Amino acid sequence: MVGSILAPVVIYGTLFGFTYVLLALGFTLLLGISRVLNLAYGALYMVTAYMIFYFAVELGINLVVAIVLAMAIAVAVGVAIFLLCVKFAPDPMRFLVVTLLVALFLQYLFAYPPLFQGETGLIIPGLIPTHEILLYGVSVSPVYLWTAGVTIVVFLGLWGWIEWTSYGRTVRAAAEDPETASLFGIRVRTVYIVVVAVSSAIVALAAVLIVPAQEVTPTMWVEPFVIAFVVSVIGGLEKFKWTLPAAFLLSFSQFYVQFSYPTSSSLSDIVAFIVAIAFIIVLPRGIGGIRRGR
Amino acid sequence: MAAEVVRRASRGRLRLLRALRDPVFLATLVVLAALPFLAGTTSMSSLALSLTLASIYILLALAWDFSSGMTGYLNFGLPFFFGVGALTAGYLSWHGDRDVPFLLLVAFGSGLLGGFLFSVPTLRLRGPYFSLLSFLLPFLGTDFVAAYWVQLHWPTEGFYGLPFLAPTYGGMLLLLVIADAVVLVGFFVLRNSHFGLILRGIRDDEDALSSQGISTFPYKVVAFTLASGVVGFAGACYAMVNTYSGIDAFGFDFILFPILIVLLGGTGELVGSVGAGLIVVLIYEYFFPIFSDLTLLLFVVAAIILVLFVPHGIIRPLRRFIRFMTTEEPT
Repeated sequence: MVGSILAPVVIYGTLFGFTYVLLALGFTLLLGISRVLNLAYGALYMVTAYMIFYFAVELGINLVVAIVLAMAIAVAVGVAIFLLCVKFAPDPMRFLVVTLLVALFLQYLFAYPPLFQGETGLIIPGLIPTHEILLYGVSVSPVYLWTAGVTIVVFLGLWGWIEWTSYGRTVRAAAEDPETASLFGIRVRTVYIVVVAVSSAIVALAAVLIVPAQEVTPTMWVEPFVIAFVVSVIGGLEKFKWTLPAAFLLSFSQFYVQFSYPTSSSLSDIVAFIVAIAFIIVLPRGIGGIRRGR
Repeated sequence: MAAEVVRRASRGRLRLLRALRDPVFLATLVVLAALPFLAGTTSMSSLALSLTLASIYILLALAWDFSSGMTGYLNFGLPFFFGVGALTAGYLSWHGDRDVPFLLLVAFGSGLLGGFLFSVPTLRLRGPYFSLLSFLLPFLGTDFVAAYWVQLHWPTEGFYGLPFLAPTYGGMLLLLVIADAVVLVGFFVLRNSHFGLILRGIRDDEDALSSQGISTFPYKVVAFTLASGVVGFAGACYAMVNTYSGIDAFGFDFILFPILIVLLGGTGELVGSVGAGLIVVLIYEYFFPIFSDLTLLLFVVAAIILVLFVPHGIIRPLRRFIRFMTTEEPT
């Protein structure tokens, strides 16, 4: 039995692992640098998808321009939510409530029938062809192959930016000790805004790549958020480099369960919750905590 | 030592008696008592139904305020326990148990059990992380039911034909008002006891409590377990008002409305939830036929405005006003 499911588990586990990394990178970066838990993170994914539909399908604008505009709007919404919360709801709990309410607002807004056909699933065009190809006998969408490639570039780029650039040092200083950093002339709030913008751009990029292979619905914001959060928990909240092993651990567990119990399609989603809760009980500091011996 | 215990107990009783004489608390009980008379106990009117729904949301708001409002640990998993209560009642009714008190009791128990099982591992996490994990709960509920619904041979469209909570909407309202009053008084007494003091201390400065040797963990677990029991009970009531329970019991409405009510009533105040619950649900019921789907959107906007600009709700200004009106000026 293991032999028959090995190829699909490895191939899907690897490809979706990269997808999960891309979905979780922005969330973990935001958490690690700005200490912000943003429940509207998944909503930015949804905003990008709906805006692509609006610009490319409803207005008929060129797809590349539509994607750029949609990503710009997602980044603007992300930064606006952050600024609104920082200004009026600075404590973490109120921040959390506001971001949940904003996510619900966007959900109800996109579900409002005169705007985007209510709850009906929409299809958006993508840059990558969606017809499936065979990989070692397993049928996969090229969307996920491209996503894997883009994820590697984004991950390495982000790592390089944080670890080896002058601004990356500034970002790390602001993350380590905001008060001391501001004493050294670092404008901490500007750093946070840049990080929020980068994080929003990453999740918008994920939407641009992945959503053409899915349906656009008003509740689509939940899944990327759940994945991002669970991957962050496994990796050790706040440590963005650990998203890589964490995402693969999650995707392999999910696909192992999915192919072992093919009749229960929702069972693989439950795995995500079980893994998250298990990590919180056994390894509250995630995979990143093991290395530090804590 | 014994004298110290007696002295502390009598001081606690005095504090509780003073709290129970609070005019806002007493006025809230009077409002609750007036509701069944307003609608009529044999009524099947839309007002009686609206007030019945308001009473269910008041239960949810009281539970959320008692656990999350008082401790600062925001529990976004309320719809999960609501769904557990509703589906438990639906499942038992489907199996032929149609005794309403029994269904309510089992739903309460299932809420308690669910709350306890969730609280024990997760309340070790600090506030925001706990909140995020609790946010995942309703999705876990939905996925679990979706995964096992067919294997368990449950009816595809959900459980229909649950017994009515009472023969008329007025009767349902009366039962729910009694439940609201019991929960309000119970939680209010707890709020003003040593237990409540610790809960509020957790919200203000949990580290300070820990540094005094107080283990906050059991207090949080008890608060969240009790609140989950009440939410499970509310879920069963909701299912028996609609005579239906299905997967939509895990919906976001059952967290949006309690949050809005608590924000309007004042976080951690408990008594504010009753007035705010009536205002919110009656406004919603009034505007829904006019604005339809837009109503929910407007409610979320109202909630955002409240949390950003009126974080203390209506109760604190009301108390200040009462104090201002009743305090004699020095001559």
